[in-house]
Amino acid sequence: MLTKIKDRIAAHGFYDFQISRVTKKEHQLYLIRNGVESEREVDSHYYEVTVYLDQKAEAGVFRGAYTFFIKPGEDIDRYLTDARVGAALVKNRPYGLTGPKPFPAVEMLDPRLRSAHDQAGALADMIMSHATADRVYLSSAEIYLSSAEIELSTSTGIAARKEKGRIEVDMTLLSRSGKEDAEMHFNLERRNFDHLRLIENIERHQDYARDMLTVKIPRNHQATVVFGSDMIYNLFFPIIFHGSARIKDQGISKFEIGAPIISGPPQGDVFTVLSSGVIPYGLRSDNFDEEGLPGQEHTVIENGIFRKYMASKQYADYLGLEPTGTFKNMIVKPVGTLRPNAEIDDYYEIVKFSELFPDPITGDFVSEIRFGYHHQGGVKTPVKGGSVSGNIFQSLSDMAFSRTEVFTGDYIGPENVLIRNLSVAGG
Amino acid sequence: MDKNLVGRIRELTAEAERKVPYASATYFTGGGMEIRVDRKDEKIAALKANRGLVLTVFNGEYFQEFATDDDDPDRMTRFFRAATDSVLRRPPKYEIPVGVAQEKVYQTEEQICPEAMNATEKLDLMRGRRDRILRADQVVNAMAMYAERRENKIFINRVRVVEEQVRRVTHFLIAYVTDGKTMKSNFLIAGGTGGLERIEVRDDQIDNMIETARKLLRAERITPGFYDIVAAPPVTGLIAHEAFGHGVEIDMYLKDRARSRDFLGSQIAAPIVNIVDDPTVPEAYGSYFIDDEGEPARPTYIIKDGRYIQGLSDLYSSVVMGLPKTANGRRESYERKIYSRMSNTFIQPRDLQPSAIIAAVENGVYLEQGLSGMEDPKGWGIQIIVHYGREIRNGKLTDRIFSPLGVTGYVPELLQNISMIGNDFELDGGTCGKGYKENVPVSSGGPHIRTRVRLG
Repeated sequence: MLTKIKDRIAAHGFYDFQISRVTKKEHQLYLIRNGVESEREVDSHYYEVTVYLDQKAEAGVFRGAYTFFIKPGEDIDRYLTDARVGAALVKNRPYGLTGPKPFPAVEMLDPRLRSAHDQAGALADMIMSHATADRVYLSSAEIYLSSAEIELSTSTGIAARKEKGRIEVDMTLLSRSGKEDAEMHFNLERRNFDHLRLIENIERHQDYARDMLTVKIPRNHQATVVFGSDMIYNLFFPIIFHGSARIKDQGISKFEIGAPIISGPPQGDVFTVLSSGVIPYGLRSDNFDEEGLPGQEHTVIENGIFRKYMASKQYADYLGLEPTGTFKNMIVKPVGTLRPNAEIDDYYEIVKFSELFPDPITGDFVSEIRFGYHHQGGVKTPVKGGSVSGNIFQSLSDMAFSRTEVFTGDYIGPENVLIRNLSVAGG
Repeated sequence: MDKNLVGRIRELTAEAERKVPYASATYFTGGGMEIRVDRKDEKIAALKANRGLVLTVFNGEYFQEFATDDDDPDRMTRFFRAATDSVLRRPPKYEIPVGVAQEKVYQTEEQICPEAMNATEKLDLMRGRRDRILRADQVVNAMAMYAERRENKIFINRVRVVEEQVRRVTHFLIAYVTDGKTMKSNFLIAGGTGGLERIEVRDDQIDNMIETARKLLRAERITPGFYDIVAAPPVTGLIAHEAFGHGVEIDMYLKDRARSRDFLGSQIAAPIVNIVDDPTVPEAYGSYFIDDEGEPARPTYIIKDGRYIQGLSDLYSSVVMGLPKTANGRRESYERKIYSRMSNTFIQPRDLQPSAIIAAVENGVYLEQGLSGMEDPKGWGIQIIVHYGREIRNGKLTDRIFSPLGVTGYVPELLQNISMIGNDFELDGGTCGKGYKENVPVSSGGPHIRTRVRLG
């Protein structure tokens, strides 16, 4: 099929192409209490094809592209006819495709995913045998185990193959005491079973679920807030956004190479941010990406100074930059000095927001506290409700990071980040 | 749909039922295209179709599903048989209703068929709207996006062969503005089920969107606290959908994850409040003719005169809970499971002019444009993120604008506090997740309402 697709692309007169052959298998297991709610097997097999057409016009040379999806055995010519029309209409500045390069060996598939059905059963047994504890029991769990094989072939000579896996456990614990009940939901996504640390996570969330029974609403005030490691990628997303070459090309980025990303002298910890596509079993790791760029690691922010735009091949060509690929896993370092209990007497520790998506352009954020603790005078009070709001860019100059380093699938760095003077809306 | 293929699937479903108590098959096909233009780049691409077959088998205790995107008839036959053979029949715990016998094909009505305009014309339309935004003062970038989807689905069980052909179109405009120090954005969304008539946008709507983006450059953060608010229809919709709708999806009852279960039949909202989920609203983005379990679409009154009447169900939840099956069993694609999901969810309008509602508020905030929300059915808490709101003083809107705003609170309290409901009505389309995944097309809305919430 691949040879046929290439032959027909040439026959239709396209200049360049990228073809990804994708084969995916997924096993899904759904639990309610101590029983199975549903079980699913999913198989997919398709080609994703992008074709390129260059056109000369009075204003210069333009490059058009068109992407489509085709299944084995389908009539490719019908798709290519549409592609020819679509690509001829698009008038983008010219750019090249990635050429062949050596790819790093990055582990992305836990071999145990090849027996996904058995592994799902083992995870289900583990969940059901550990979920029940003092005043806590299992509401439901969803287990998704998938593996994919991707072959990339391009007109520039790339012919590469990779395998990726994904393990996802989505789980809800219920707690009850007398007439009071509450829930604690959590989600784990990893590429290696050993990185799930499922029992440890269940036990931690059992504690949270029990504490949910005695939550209070926070009060209105300006407060110090400690964010957990699984929130840091989202919290820092505006940094990824403004550090993107595409956003720079669009005239939207506020970052300049060599300039500080904070305004004024730093009051807190200075930090470094890296994009890494080569962390073993990182959720965003890739030995090559969809353009055929090899997995790489780059320093984006160095001690508070912006160093490098993350650029796909297209935007690297437009801006004359090194093609780094888009931002992958986040590494934050150096690990700071924060020890909240020892150094701050009054702060909120957020365990879970309802959702945290800062505005990528402005950095503004506001989110409901789904669960957390108010620490004051050595007393720890569970809290729920109300919201935390602020602006990530305004906060960059006064952040502090914890000493402990963690890996959460797509993030390696401090376990907590502390931000002072955020607005807490409560009772 | 290919009649031979349908016949083959029907035979295979019948064959499966010789081994298990119930089997059905759902076959999804379709396609579509998208156009996106901004200041620098253009893109035209085919959309990845939700194209695949799901064999659903009840083994006596729970549903097992086998899904593939391979629709070659011979390979599909082998797939069906291997899947059925792998099922271990269990002593039946529940009886699965097969529904009313029906063979029917439903199709979205289009006033202006998307094919009436070729790709060049659609691209030029997007370029024109982008350029109108780019010509405005203080605009640094603009984006115009158009997408059209054909979503075909056929559901087959022993008594039903029902097919729907739904067409959805989406149009999105964004303006990025700056005063040299700050950058803000604002957006305009159009779309629905139907044809190109659903993406008609007037120039004055685009100009208003840009003007509001400029006003956002001087937006303030609100002082946290409780406020009287007037919600415009997009925010009313988020209240109906996020604050309440998710809490009455009864698959959450099975998991003991929804507080509303304890309130079935109870007065939980002000008596003036009616909340409806209705997949049959003409042209609405979340509309369909059959749900993904072959159930014919029909409205469900969730709250009637402030009383919680009925939740939204999928087949398995309704059977296990002994509650009525509503037309709300939906899946993101053939790759995903069915859950209880909303369609078009809204508060019904009453008789007040929106201007009269604003005039009745002494000090408060007019919440004009929603952004997103997240459900909390067990805690019955609310999180809604509002793009911007305007100050109300002595019954009039002032020049003060707040952005962004977080609405939080306790759902029954918010619903009990609804004191005024307008006579206007709008639905906003978008996608909705179950938690952070399982996205399906929905809409939400209603009239202007007045209530009291915590803002931050």
